[in-house]
Amino acid sequence: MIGSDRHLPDRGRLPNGGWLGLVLRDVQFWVPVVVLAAGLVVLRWITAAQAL
Amino acid sequence: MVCGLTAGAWLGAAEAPTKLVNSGLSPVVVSLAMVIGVFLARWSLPALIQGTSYIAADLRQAPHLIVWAILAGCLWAVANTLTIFAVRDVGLSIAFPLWNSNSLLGILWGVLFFGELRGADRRRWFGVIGGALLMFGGATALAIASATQASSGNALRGVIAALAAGVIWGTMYIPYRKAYLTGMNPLSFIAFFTVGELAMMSVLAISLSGGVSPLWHELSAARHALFWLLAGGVVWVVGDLFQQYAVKYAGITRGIPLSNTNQLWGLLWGVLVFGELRGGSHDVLLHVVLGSIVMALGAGVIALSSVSGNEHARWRAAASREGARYGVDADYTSARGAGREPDVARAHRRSWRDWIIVAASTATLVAFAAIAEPPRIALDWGWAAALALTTLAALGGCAFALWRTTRFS
Repeated sequence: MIGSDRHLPDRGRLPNGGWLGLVLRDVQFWVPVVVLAAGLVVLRWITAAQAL
Repeated sequence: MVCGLTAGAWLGAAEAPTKLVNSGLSPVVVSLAMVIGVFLARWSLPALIQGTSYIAADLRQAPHLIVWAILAGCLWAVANTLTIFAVRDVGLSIAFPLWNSNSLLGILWGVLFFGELRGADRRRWFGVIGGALLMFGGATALAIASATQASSGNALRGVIAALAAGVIWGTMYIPYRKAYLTGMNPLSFIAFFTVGELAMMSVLAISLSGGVSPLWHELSAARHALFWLLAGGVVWVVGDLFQQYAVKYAGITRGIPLSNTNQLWGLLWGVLVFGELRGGSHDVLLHVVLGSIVMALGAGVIALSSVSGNEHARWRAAASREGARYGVDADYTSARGAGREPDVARAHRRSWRDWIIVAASTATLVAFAAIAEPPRIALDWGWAAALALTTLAALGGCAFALWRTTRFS
């Protein structure tokens, strides 16, 4: 599975940066982030087109 | 499976208030008011069902899921705003199936990221992929109908808004599945989900309205209609909660197509209650009805492709990897995956905090109800009552079944 089995820490011991660092290094996290950014661009386009 | 179908009925009913857009309200006000209603319900329902101390115990086990829940909430807010524009430009009965293409993307993410369908036999692969293709065919028939039904100037914009909402919602299931593989209770997830939802929607509303003062002016001007939108948000939360349980226990590949039967409920509300498609040509009506039936058949085929033992083993492996990645207790993950309560989550009672949350939410809704005026659009109240009673019956039956089998775990 994509992005799910790399750099696994030992159970109960988190690396430097804690769980936030793990989230940011998780490939699966960045897919929704990119889609969210693209959605905001589409929304901006629609509202700009409406204003014209 | 029952959760998915009940979610469909409630999510379909929740879209009806968006028709108020046609009575002159700004899409931003409609979306923000719905999200405020959603926020009230997403805190009061978990407080009422399990209590906030239960949620706090859940988060101590997997604190990283707060980030995922807030991200999912941001995605929901953007998609919901896009659907308001879509409904206004191409109508509820057309926009619904277009944004319900989210299940196709959900299936893709389920297979790619979470091992869903891995280890499944050919019949199940055929059922899920074949069902997805049927749903796509139905959506295409409805999109063709939209070209003749909607005004030409805004049809393209409406279709793009609906499809974009579908992509965003389809991707929102990544955080959902992540949380439920780890073992989080849906009631805990939605409490933080809604923080992202309200924050993102507030930023969008201020930005699109031109500032805080113009937004406040718009909200004040719309105060007599706000109750209906808040109520729409509350109804949405009930449907979404069952959708969350469907994703938890049936996975994205089955749970989302089932809850996307809300398209049929949306069609019923649009046609029977709001009189959509009245005066439409025979060809348009045929496209809409056949497209909807084909989409529902696709969802049915997917639903019948139940999860096999091999596939369940892959789910458990994926859950184990998630737990190991984030250092979550293995007992917690496996107990919650099986619908049981782990020791760390037991013995939590409702406190005065929970009752304050429930009382404040109820008081807010009652206050807006007191100043509400009936919507100024033509409605068929007989059909509205019949559909409302049917959705309430579905709620009662499904809540009882869920309580009996999982105690809302």
